[in-house]
Amino acid sequence: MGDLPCVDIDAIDNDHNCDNAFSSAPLGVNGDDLATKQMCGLDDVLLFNSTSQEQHPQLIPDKSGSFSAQLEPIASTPAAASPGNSQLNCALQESSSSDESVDVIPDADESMSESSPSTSDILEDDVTLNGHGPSSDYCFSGWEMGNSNMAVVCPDYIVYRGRYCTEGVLVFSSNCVELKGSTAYENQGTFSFQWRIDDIVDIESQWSARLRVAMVKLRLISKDAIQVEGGQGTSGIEELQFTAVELNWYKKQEEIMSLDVRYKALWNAVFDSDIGRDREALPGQNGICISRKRYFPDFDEPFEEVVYPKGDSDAVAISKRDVDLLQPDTFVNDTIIDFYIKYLKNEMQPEERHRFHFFNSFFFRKLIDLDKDPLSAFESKAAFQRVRKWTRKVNLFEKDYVFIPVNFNYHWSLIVVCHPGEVAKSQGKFLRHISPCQSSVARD
Amino acid sequence: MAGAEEQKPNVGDQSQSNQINIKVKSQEGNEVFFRIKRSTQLRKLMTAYCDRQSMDVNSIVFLFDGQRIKAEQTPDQLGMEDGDEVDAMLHQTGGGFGDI
Repeated sequence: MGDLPCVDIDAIDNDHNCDNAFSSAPLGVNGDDLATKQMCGLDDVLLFNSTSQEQHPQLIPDKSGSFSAQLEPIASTPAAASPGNSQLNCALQESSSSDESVDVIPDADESMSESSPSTSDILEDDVTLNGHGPSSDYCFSGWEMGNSNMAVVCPDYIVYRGRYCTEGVLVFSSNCVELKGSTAYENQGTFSFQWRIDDIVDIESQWSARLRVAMVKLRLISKDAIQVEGGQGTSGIEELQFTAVELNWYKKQEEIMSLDVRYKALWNAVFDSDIGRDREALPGQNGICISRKRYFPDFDEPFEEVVYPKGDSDAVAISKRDVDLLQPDTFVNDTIIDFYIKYLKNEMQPEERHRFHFFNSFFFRKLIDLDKDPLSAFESKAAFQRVRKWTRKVNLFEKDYVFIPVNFNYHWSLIVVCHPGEVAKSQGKFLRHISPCQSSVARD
Repeated sequence: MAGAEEQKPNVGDQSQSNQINIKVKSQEGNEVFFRIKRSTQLRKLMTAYCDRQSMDVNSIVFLFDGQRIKAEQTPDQLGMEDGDEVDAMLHQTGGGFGDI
């Protein structure tokens, strides 16, 4: 500390011209809709996807697929064309507000004699009961007989033709696979697809016991190719990926495979292997780009830094590096934590916000001085000096709750200080009745 | 033209108020001083600091009075005064409860 080096920044290179030297880090102010969209969607994988996806043209193999309402009667589940949509609508409502299904689960367990118990079966039952298509009969009778001639999976999300959908339902039956759902896109409405088992090239199923998540990839012969059988049709393989949280995926798998031997032949189960493994498209198929990460959408496409909340002096800038930390089995960093705190704060009613104060994730580290001398943390005066300026514009004692994120030993936790003002008012008289976390901050 | 105009006031008192000294303090308590124009983007200070410390700019968060400094901000925008202190903190990572 004796001879402190002093660097003349401006001498390093000739000032303002350097603005462009550092590549694209856009100011939050001139950020745009894209940024907002992405931010809002961060806790909701879906929206995020839909924006990032616009940069992934390869994910949309054919533009023709009007995603909404593509119904094609195949095989034994002849879905009615237009009524089918409304039917799906109600199906989706059912599945999203899954109260009913939750209630009925126990019954499902009892009545499903041979097949494995599953919540989603009931859900599907609702679906078909509500719809009055011919398929409902089919399903219903199957249900009544306790005959598991269909298996239903309600994935967390489904990716098909570059679309992401979180409220879809996949029905495996003895001769076809049906996908019903709605996209996150505005105005896209609901959709439904069916494939015969023969149209399935293979099914790759991956189960992570730790995450309790099944990641499944169905490769399907493109329907458009079938339609233009005349010859020039672009024969291609489409991919349908879905991720489902299933407590007992093995049973589910068996259930599906027991529907038809062909499933068994197609099924390719991978257990707990690493998620990021890539797999090449079949030779001869014109390249459908397979996103590398199965569990999460592919963020390989770089995106610009996102500043949130825009215009806030204390905004958080989130880069692709940070978003990458949202992958499974990855530690999240302070940027993600701070972003989420900001996000929660922004979600609050404006008139409520003054009641709370949120410190960022560095406050605690600085206050305690973890890195230098943890023991000195107990010298509250020094600790206070270290962070004195942090709350220059805030009166903590007016707050009802003060939130302090803590990062210690590679672990995130949170301190909540409740009603610090009470301590100040009591002037130490009742300190012993107050919980330690309150008093330690209040004394400062 | 513009260049000539800027040159002139850079002498004497003006340069004093135009430039400020900023102390960058590492987590371990080491301090490095920087002199920077009030209107220069702090990106320069960040890269200069990281270069000196042979660290990746992306591994460090710079805080001024607890607020994250963004590279495009200038001392003026942040209301920095001569002698103010900036904290250079390493990014923190961690997991949470939930994995069994």
